Amino acid sequence: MVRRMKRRKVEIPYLNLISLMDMFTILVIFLLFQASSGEEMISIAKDVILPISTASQPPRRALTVTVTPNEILVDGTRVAETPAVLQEKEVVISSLRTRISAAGGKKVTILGDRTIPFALLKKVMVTCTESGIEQISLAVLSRET
Amino acid sequence: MHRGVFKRKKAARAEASLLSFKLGYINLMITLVPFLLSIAVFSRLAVLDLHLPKLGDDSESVALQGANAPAAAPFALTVAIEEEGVSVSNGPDRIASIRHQEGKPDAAALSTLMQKLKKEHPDTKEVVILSRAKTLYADLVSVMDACRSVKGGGGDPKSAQSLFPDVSLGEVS
Repeated sequence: MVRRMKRRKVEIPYLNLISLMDMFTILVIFLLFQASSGEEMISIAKDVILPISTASQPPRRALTVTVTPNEILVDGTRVAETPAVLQEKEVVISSLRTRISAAGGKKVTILGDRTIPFALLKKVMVTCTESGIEQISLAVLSRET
Repeated sequence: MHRGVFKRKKAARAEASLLSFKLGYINLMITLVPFLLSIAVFSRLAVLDLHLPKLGDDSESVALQGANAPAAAPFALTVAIEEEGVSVSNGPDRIASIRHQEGKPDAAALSTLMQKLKKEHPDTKEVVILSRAKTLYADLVSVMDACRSVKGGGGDPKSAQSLFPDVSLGEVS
């Protein structure tokens, strides 16, 4: 009798996995919805920390100009070095202008690091308007409240 | 007796197959969850639209100069971010100046002032924000936020009341 009970206990290793499966399923569905809803059109370079703002307007498809403390990129390709641009007296950045004119389009989104000075931002904006851009948007991180 | 053993064996086999199914399912989830977590975006991207003056004969079309901001509008709101404070003026007439808090523009005080100004000039939408060459982009954006809209302005804490949404940028001359 005693022996039989012992055997039974060994025979049934009971681990309830159903609740774990439920939890994972809910988590996966939630993450899937989140991944599909936020259609991320703009890829952000790693060394850019965008400023935080209360703006909630979604970004639209446009040429992106990324301004980091080290370099200026247009759609991911590097066009100029930031320190060199800052030292230059000329307001229009010629390499950036060539690149924007080549890309065409009337709209531009500027992804600026939060530490860049206004002088640099102004140069980039002036270059954009000089290259025929009519709409400049500044990309920011939307503060969730 | 014999039947009982057979039944138990069958049940054990079914249980084993169910267990392997569960384990496979959990393995799948364990790979899916970190993958989806890694591509999930928790901070949403947004854009601030700039109000660009129409291209004219002015060579620096982006940078409006402080004093000659649009003369046609009766109320030309200008916010200048200076070294030790933000000064708000209507064209050449200074309205107020708000000192920086710990080197950063005092967004709360500026927001209060903007709400007061919006009450006085409900039809104005434009604001010119002038910065110094060294002004940080983050500070500029915080000033833009304070000028553009305010959260919970109309009594409803969730809706944003728009103040002066058409922002132009310029440099302090």
